[in-house]
Amino acid sequence: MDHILELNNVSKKYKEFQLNNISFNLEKGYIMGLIGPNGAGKSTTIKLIMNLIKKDSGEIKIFGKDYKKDEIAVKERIGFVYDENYFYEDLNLLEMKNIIAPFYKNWDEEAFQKHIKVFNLPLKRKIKELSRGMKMKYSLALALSHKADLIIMDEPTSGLDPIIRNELLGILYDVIQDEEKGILFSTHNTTDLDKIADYITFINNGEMVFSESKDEIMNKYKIIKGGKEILTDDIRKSLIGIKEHNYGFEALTTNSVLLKREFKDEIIIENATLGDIMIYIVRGNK
Amino acid sequence: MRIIIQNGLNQPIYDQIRGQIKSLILKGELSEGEQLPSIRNLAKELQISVITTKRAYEELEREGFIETVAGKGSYVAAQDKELLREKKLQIIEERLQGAVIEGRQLGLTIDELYEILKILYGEVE
Amino acid sequence: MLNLIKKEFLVQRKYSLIFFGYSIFMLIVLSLSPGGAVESVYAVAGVTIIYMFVQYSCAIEDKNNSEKILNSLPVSRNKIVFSKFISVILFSVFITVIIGLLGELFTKLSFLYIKKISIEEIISILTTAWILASVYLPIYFKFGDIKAKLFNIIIFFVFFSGSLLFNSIIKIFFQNSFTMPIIDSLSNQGPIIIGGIILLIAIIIVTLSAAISTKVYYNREFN
Repeated sequence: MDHILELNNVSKKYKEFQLNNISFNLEKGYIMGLIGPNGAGKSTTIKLIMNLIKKDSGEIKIFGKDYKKDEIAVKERIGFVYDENYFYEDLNLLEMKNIIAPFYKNWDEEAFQKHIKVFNLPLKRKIKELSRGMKMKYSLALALSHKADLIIMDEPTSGLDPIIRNELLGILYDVIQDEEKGILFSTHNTTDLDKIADYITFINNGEMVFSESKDEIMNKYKIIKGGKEILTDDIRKSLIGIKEHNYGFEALTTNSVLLKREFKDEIIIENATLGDIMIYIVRGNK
Repeated sequence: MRIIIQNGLNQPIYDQIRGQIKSLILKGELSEGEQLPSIRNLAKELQISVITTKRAYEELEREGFIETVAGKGSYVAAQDKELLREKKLQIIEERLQGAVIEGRQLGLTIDELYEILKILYGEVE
Repeated sequence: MLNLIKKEFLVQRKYSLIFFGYSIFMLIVLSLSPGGAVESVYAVAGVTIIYMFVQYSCAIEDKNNSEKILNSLPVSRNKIVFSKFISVILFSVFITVIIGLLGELFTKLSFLYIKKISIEEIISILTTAWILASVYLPIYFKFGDIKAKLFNIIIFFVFFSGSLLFNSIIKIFFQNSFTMPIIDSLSNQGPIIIGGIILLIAIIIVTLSAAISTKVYYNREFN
């Protein structure tokens, strides 16, 4: 298979937090969203992939190679964008590029210049004088200028306005046009992914909830609304994150077809967004 | 070629695309041999996921409406005249069925529905 | 690796005036009067400035959280470590030349008691600065800059008490009948050979420190 990224039962233990048995695959040509609330373990997962922290157990393969043994070769082909800018803020964009570029054998200066132009970035300006959106675009310009086959983005849209976020999505569509590249995109802002993501990996509290194609997920999870009288113990078991109010209840379910057959017009079944799914699952059944 | 996606419908997006391309082919707006946009380009244009457009194309291919040449793209397949007519009939049936269901919910009789159909038939010409 | 070394100097570019100004200031102030201060003028100025360079270098990485970027690039952690050591060595040689030239210039000013820089002074600047850096950098590579800063106090304590200890060891060493002949034959050598031996010891310490640094940095986590 053409898996460009493969995680098998990856675990990492901290004093206060534990990431447990994370497993997912990313095929080339597709975009995977890594979602979950703040502190769920998304950044930890990405840091493990980038070998910024060491895993306790499990296996990580990138481009079919061991991510540690072939670390340098693997990183040649990874473009990364992190949520905060981790650049030397006193340098200007050109100086910083001149530091970064020589690390990559496949540095493509022409592509870089093109991105700088398209993103409208001032090369002579210091990094600390850039807006958040510009910093993200600058990171992206660097990530896209060395013929990377895997783009890893950790919360690239946090703190950005909807216009720039939408612009980013446009750029990502361009990246996957050639079918050779894959994108891993972590965010707690799921509206970024409602449209573009092909696969969603959902991590909650260090545990993996699912890793599936978005269409399957949207097909499976539905919002159910109805009167509280139908909430028997059995029914409650088939619902996720039930929220009761004075006049009825709302919940998430994976049994919408059966429930609809049983209760017909007594209930309403609606499509859920990724945000809904996240909210209901995180809420759980308390 | 016109494809309009409606969010929040019960019909999945891949199915909306499948239906609309199919009807474009049946109506003759897309003719035999015509190249369709690539799945990635269509995904980009419609701002939906690649997997969704891919699924739509796969379904269309299975139904024989399009053909995909590896590395080249997807094309409108040659349509058998008989088959086409049959397919069109099928679509008509589906739509009439929808009308009948709605009519029944309103409590219309078959005669009342027939009246409506007769008037509409006369109007279209 | 070359661009990593270049980077070290590039990010400290804005401090270059401070370094230069500080060199002039220290040389002048310490050599205004005859006596103790003027004898160690070069060593004090040189070591202080080189140590500042080391401190800034680590502080800048920490402030910008840049190690996350560096370690995400296709470059080995060893190279990141080595480039820091090499840049410190390059800088120390550079600053020694600068203060040597400044001293040369200042000897022309009649109100200063400064003398021309001697080979002993050059060696004492380099060895002291290198040994200090050799203590600081492994701690930085292991724990990051914030914790390394805390160690600063300890480092100074260890360094000064260490030099006292070193003195008493030397005394015992010199009074020892077994080592006497070695010392004698050493002191019969010219100052260049003694200086060379001291410099060699410093280089061995730097090498050891770099080796330890690569080891601890390999296991470092960037949270």
